[in-house]
Amino acid sequence: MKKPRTYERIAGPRSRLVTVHSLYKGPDHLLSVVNTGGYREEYRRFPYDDIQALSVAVLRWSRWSSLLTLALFLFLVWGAVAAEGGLAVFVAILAGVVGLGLLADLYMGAYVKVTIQTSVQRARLPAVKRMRTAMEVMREVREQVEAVQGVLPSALSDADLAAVPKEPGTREAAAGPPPVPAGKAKAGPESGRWHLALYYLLLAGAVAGTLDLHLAGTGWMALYGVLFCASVLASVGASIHQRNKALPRGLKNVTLAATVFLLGVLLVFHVYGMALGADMAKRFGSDMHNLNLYRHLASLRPEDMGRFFYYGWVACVAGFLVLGTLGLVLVSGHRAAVKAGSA
Amino acid sequence: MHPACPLCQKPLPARSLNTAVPVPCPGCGGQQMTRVFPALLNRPESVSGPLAEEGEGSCFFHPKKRAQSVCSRCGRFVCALCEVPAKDGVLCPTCLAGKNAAGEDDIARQGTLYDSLALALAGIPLLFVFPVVVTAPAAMVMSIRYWKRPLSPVRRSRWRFVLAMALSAAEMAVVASLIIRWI
Repeated sequence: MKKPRTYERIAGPRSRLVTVHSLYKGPDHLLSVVNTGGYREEYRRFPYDDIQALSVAVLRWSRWSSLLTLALFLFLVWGAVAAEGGLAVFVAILAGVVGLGLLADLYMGAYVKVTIQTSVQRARLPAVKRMRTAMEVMREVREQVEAVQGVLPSALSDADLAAVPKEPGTREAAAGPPPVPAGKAKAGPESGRWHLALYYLLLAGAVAGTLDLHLAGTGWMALYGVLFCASVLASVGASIHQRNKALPRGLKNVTLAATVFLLGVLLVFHVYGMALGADMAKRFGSDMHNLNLYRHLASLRPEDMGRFFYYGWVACVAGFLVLGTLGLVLVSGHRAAVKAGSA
Repeated sequence: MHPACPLCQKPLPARSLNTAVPVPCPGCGGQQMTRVFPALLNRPESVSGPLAEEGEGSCFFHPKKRAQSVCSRCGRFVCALCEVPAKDGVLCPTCLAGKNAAGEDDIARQGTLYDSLALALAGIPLLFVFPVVVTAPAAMVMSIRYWKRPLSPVRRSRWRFVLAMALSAAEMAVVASLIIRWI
């Protein structure tokens, strides 16, 4: 069931390197949302009754960006006129695309920096980066804020501004601070459960991989596949979980190395392997669901790509074993230290 | 705070405020336009609150202070310093912390988008085929476990959860049928 609409988007989404910024108009406040990686959002709220000022400033490099686009467009137009045949058509199409970009650039206006000021903070609104959007946001915010605060009775003078404090306003404290509310209890030292799971999975994967090499059964291969996928998930989880946690640096580094190793293996074996596997399936029929075939291929025909799979598999199992053992030693040491500290 | 130029952060004079078009900043010369509102001229209020006298209700957190309002969740008396205005009335610091910990959307400062995570977990591993053996059940578990968690304040429906569950159910069905055929 849909919730009633509380927020109306007035700017954005604007993408940065890994974040996406949006600005929403709420019933009694503006909401600035920063989405990181698509999975995490941070919110900043600016109540209408607390907004003191909204500023828009044209960025200095804005005009150079437009001039460079214009210069590129003129150069391409000249190129299209000077060239002949198919090249002229290609350059003309390119000039058309750049020309459309230039028109869009002119329509959207200059690049701007927008800041909002309340009684306690001055914050940038990264969701707004063009003059056209900034003007629309300013109109929307002005309507909302003036509906709550009213309008300034008369034009501001420098004497009025002189009475405004230069620093954020302070509140007179009561006698003694209020007690810290009993919220969620603070977590103790990091136990390293994610890491323990990861390294057990790696060692189990090493065992399953070795058994598959020697016993060459479909069941072992399936078990190895499941353990491998679980290891990838556990390594990504442990790498995310260990940020800002009190864990030994060595353990963090080994976990990161294990994550990079597992993701690399995933990429090489599963993407490249699938492409090659299709070719091998064509050559050898459907009887290629275990590595025994690749091992025989490697021993019979060294130039065959079966050798790649065989030694790649061995390297993968060796990596599991080394990283799993090293990590397990480190995490066991850490857990013992935590246990000794809490005892 | 004094209104300042967004580029150079220097205070702006009155003539540079509330203009209809961008004007140069006296500090850096950059084109800027600043609109100020009446809240700029408000004085910060003292919120220390009066002391409670004999027979008067006192603040739960500051027994010497006179109670100003009642927490709309737990009913505790709170003084002017402890009352926090919220969408559903006045809150005391404890209820505010509880509301924040629960990620309620009118006060949350950050949140994890479990619906997007579940959808990514169900969709992206399809590129690699084999990981769906693990990721499809994980996406299903995540969708069910976090179904009742508050969504992002700007999202209104749970269609990502529904899609993630449908996708992961389809993946699990395909994997199960392949295993049965294999056996």
